[in-house]
Amino acid sequence: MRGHDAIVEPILTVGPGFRRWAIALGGVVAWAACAWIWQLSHGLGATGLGRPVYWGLYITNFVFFIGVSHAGTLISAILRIVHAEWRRPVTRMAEVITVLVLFFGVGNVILDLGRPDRALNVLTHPHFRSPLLWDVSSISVYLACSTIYLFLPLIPDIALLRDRSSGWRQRFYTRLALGWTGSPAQWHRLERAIGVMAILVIPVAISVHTVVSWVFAMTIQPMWHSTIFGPYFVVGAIFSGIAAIITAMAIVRKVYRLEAYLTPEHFGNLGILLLVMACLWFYFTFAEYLTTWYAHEPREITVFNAKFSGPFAPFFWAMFFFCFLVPFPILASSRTRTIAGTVVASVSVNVGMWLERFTIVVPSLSNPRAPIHGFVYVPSWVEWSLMAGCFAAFSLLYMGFTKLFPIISIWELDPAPGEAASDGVGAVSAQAQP
Amino acid sequence: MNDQLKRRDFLFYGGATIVGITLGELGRRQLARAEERANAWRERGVETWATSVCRECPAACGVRVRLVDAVPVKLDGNPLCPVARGRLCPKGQAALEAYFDPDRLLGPARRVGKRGEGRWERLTWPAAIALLAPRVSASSGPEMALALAAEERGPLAEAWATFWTAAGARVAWTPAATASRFASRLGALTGRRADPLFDLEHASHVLSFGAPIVEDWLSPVWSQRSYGHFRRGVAHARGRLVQVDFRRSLTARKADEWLPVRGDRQAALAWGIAAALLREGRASRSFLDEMGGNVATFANEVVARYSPDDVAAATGVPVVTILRLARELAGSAQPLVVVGADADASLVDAVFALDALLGAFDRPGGVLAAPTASRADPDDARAALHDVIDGSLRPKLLVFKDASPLRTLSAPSEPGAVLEHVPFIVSFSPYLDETSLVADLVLPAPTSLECWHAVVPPSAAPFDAVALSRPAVTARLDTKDTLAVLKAVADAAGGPLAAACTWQSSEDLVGAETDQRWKERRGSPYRNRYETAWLLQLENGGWWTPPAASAEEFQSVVLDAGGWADPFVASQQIRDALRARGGLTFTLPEGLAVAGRPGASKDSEDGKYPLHLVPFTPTVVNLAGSPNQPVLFELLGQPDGAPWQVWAELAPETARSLSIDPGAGIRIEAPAGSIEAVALIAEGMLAGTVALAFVPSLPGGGRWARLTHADARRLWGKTAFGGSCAVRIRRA
Amino acid sequence: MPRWGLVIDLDRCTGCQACVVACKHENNVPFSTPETAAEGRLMTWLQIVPAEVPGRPGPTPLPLLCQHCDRPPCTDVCPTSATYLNPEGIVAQVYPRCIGCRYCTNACPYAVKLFNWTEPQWPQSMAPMVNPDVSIRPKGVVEKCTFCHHRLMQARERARAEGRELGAEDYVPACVQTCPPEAMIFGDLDDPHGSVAALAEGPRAFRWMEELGTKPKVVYLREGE
Ligand SMILES: Nc1nc2c(c(=O)[nH]1)N[C@H]1C(S)=C(S)[C@@H](COP(=O)(O)OP(=O)(O)OC[C@H]3O[C@@H](n4cnc5c(=O)[nH]c(N)nc54)[C@H](O)[C@@H]3O)O[C@H]1N2
Ligand SMILES: Nc1nc2c(c(=O)[nH]1)N[C@H]1C(S)=C(S)[C@@H](COP(=O)(O)OP(=O)(O)OC[C@H]3O[C@@H](n4cnc5c(=O)[nH]c(N)nc54)[C@H](O)[C@@H]3O)O[C@H]1N2
Ligand code: SF4
Ligand code: SF4
Ligand code: SF4
Ligand code: SF4
Ligand code: SF4
Ligand SMILES: [Mo]
Repeated sequence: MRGHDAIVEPILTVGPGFRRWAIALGGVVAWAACAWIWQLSHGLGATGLGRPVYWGLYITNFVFFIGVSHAGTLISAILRIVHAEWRRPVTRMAEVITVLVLFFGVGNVILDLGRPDRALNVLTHPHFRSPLLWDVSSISVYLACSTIYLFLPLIPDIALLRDRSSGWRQRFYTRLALGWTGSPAQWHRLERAIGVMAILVIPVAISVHTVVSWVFAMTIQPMWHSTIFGPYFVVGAIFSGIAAIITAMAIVRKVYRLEAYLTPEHFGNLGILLLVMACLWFYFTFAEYLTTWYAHEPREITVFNAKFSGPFAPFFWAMFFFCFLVPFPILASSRTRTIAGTVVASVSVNVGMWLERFTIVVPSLSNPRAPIHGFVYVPSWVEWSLMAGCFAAFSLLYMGFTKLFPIISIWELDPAPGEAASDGVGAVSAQAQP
Repeated sequence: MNDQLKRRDFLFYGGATIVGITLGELGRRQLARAEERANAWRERGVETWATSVCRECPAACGVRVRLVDAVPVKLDGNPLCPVARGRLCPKGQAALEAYFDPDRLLGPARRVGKRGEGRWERLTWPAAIALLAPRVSASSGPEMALALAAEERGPLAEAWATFWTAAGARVAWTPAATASRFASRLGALTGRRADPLFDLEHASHVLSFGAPIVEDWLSPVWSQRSYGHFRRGVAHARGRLVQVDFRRSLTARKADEWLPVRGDRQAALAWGIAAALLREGRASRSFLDEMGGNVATFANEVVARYSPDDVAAATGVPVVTILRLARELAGSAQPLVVVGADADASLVDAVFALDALLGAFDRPGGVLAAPTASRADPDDARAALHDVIDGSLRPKLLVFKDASPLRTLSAPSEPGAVLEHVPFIVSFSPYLDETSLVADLVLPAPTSLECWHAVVPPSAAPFDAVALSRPAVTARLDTKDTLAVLKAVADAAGGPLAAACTWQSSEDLVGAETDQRWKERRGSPYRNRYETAWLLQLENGGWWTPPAASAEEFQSVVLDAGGWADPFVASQQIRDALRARGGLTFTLPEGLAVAGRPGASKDSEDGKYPLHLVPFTPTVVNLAGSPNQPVLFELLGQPDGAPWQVWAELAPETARSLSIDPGAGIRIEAPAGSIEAVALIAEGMLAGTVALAFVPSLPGGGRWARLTHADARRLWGKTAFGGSCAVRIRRA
Repeated sequence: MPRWGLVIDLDRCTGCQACVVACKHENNVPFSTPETAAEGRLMTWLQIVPAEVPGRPGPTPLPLLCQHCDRPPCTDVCPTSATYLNPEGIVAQVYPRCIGCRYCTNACPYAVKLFNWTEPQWPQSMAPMVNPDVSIRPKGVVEKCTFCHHRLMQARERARAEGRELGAEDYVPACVQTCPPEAMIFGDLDDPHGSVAALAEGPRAFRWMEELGTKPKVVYLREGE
């Protein structure tokens, strides 16, 4: 275990670079908090929204964040189940993304409410025919599952930190380690639990993004009312999720000098996954838009044209550029599927997928069936501030996590000899105990 | 884990929770308080109803005011009123905003700064009257006063005229020219000088020359109600409407057929149709045989001068269409030809001639004569004001009541400049309108909900009627009944003026009017449709049952009902006059001038200003009434344009040639000035013609009236606004 | 139980917008300014729109209000049942329950639901003008045409006080009451003797966007023969 000092080291020390970043991001978050207070006192009039564009940046962010949340849990669970050994240094940083980002997904819905003070009405007066209520249900289940799924593999590492730290940290880790001693019985229970969660989390994750897509697809609005929205959103979610992992991996690798753990192989493998998702995404997008165009239903085609050649064309084509034209060539060739290449592709996919969410939410609303006079939706400073605040707060929390917990699962790095024969979830490692 | 740690953790987590809950609760309370505030009104309670009369336009529809604890909260039509029958137009609905207008004048005031500067000194009413009285008595003779008021019939308007005539002033009215044109042209043709009543409701086929039937025609609620019945009456088939209009107005859109023809060519089309009727022998033989008069000469002339080919060339309407229009008219059971109040005398003549050829006078679905005579040859305020502006008339005192003719006579930025040399200007308006802005003394009158009414509704149902009512609400501000002010001025001046003022206030005159009707022993308070029909039956049989036991009781029931009406009016007035006079006297039309483009100016000929712009008044805009109602500005530009926007209508060809998209912002430039507007593309509109919504702005006036920045008057600069104008357009 | 419905005869409707003003004043709907209108925040429960309808070559002015759908897409999606179809067929809004998620506004194909972006305001002098029978909606909730539901409750009370049945003329929404050409007819769609039921079955009747399966209870009558 001594060999993993490179992982443990940055948890226990806080350098000036970290402080600077924390202060900067904290500043952004504080600014966003002011913007939120402004919005609470002025009402949603502080946004750029209006009739008929009732949803904008917040709902775009909601869908985007929920999409990114597929990064961790789903991917790590799948990789665990298929025994992909290379996954070991990757899972933790992916799972953290999931849990954190879910809060921002939900948070954006709260930001979007006209009456956030009444949010609990959803529980006290629930109406089960509303897809929004399905969302509430599936997101809370997903949040619970992912948190457990993040926490379980953390326990041995927390115990390790407990034994290495002192002061408040020790008290903190003691509390969280739940009395882990590393006894074989505990290892066995942990493996079983992780195994069950890995299987459970997959349908829940898929349901989450399916239900998010149904928020749109269950209405009869043009270019929302689509049967393939469920899988389309899930694919998009995994797509943006993998991109988010690669981006996070690159940053963590650089900042904490974990080159030894996060090798080009990891980037290459995830790059191939991203390539597969890019192709799937292209397939769904093509299918969605081709059927709309071919059928030429008047209301649908109005929205289609608004995206394809109308006022939303810049967003639409930028989406296509970032989601496909950039990542595909880079990832398709093994020569460019380097660390730098996959990172460029991932950042591009993240931008592109945000644009995709935007071009799903706003153009349909901007072209209602009823001939009412519309307006051009331009997000206000409050919306941009809150969006920046979300990203800053996410980064801050992620950074905070790296200062409390190992961002790479330490005990999983060194599989015990008998491990492959077990259920393949994790391994008993004598070295896990100092 | 030791106990100490546990306690510390407990304090931390507990504290954080409490802080969180407190913050959340504070936020919740903040929002809850806003809600409470919003619900505070619930404590009010007692509901009452009062009748009043709408004065947002001359139609004088009856109004029922809903009051809660004596505060008016909603206006609706008075179901007993024979004009409105319980309905109100958008302006009538919005009149509540006129009463509550936050920018109303607070009370009498005197100008202290320079004219139009907007600096005022509040006065008491006695002080204000003391200021006016010497000016009134000093200004008779050649240094006379000029009193301008909105045209109105009834004892209150008569009293105004009596006072100023006794004071030696010249009394003029807006819009005397339009109001009297119909009557004088009908008089010329038939010998019966009366306002025509177009019985749209019972017509089977209507040919309209620019009459904005579904917009603001004559008496808008009456006109729209009639239109409803014309289209979907219970007792007859759906009426057919053909609209001749230079723009695609709402009426043109609702019509079964729209013929885009420039305003100055519409008379030619009307004469052309008359010629076709006569040439094909389709005119009403039974009517002309009896009442023909000079029809033979007329027929020869009009047929000779208006050959279908010439008319087609002049109007752009194909020969087949002209012939079809004539045949459709003649083939319908109860055809009617109508015209807008704006039309010039030649078009009005042609329209009445067509009605005569169709035998439409005094028949259901035709043209009837209004029972109440209109003012004979009223002095026209616009003309008088023109004389003042060009200096040929130099009154010492200029007085405005209920009228703001400056609105259409001056550039929006400097309404006062044109009246520089008038020494003293008085405005009785309750609002800071154009005339109040330049006045030396403002003597705000109560608004229509606050005052007494006795007004004869013009051009509506064939009733003899007077709208009568008490103030429906208590006065909100320090206003005073204009006639009471005049009485006080007369008392101060003494002499013949004091003798001429037989009243103390409007209230007296309203009382005198009901007493007069009581003595006439006919008619009844406003009643519902069925009772009115019953009353008509009785009166036809020579019966009249007094609707009250005494004059006092009669007055009170009439004021409660909102007016007095007598449905029994002589229904054959025009034919009687024709018989007495020996038939129709057609005015022979001028020859058809096809040469040159009328209205084309030098500017348009050298190609710098190639487009022909015609302003029109949007339905929801007030030319009469309060200038400052937010909801009406909001409705502007709807349904096609955008709320609050002033728009211009272009032909698709014109728009294409200038690469202007629908809804795009455009700049309209004339030699004198330019404005910005929103472009609407009107399918079928005449190429080269632009129709611009005329929305007067009031830079110094109320908060909403200030918001219009596209005032058509800028295109005319300092010259009087009106007519068409040569412009060019580019994208803004 | 009556099933309230509104018939609008497009052959009579002149697009005059009197109904729009009547509704605004009756229901305390606040005014806009040019700026708020340009931001898409004009509040109006009823509005005249240029619509393509059967029997007309071009767009025709059409009074657009909540269609009080019998199968309302808006109520299905509301997470709190703050909007629901009441037993008399009126689609209602419960302002104190609404969380302002604006899902219903987006689900309504007629775009007739409005959101209170800010606290409603009137100039001070106009504050007393509000109708005490209709609550003022706070910022953050959704509102729309209620078929002047408060008038129904008053009419019921009146009828009960006078010991009689609710008659057809007792309950008349504000827009219907003012319409100058008498283009709007309101009543019980289930009353076989009422004029509304007859007109709604007539040859000129159509329901706007009925192909969406919304089953509107606002019935339009086509122009023309
Ligand atoms: N909303 C509203 N309604 C009103 C009023 C108001 O201020 N606002 N005012 C009331 C009053 S005071 C009156 S007098 C009546 C006005 O009576 P209307 O008959 O409504 O007259 P206008 O609307 O002034 O003009 C009629 C139409 O004539 C057309 N026109 C213009 N020039 C010519 C021309 O040379 N020849 C022909 N054939 N047509 C032409 C224009 O398109 C215009 O729309 O309306 C009453 N109704
Ligand atoms: N360009 C153009 N010019 C036109 C016409 C047109 O169609 N186009 N139409 C002509 C016709 S038909 C008419 S009727 C005239 C209308 O023109 P006017 O009769 O001059 O009416 P307004 O100009 O509207 O002015 C009415 C003024 O009366 C004041 N007022 C409102 N309510 C009250 C009240 O209760 N008491 C008192 N004392 N004052 C009040 C308001 O300040 C308002 O400004 O315009 C004529 N001029
Ligand atoms: S027609 Fe004239 S009088 Fe009648 S309601 Fe409308 S504005 Fe008032
Ligand atoms: S009031 Fe009547 S005629 Fe006017 S727009 Fe409304 S429905 Fe149409
Ligand atoms: S019209 Fe819209 S708001 Fe009204 S019931 Fe139907 S879906 Fe709901
Ligand atoms: S905005 Fe209000 S009424 Fe509409 S769906 Fe959300 S909670 Fe329901
Ligand atoms: S029924 Fe009442 S609430 Fe609905 S549009 Fe008409 S006036 Fe407004
Ligand atoms: Mo007039």
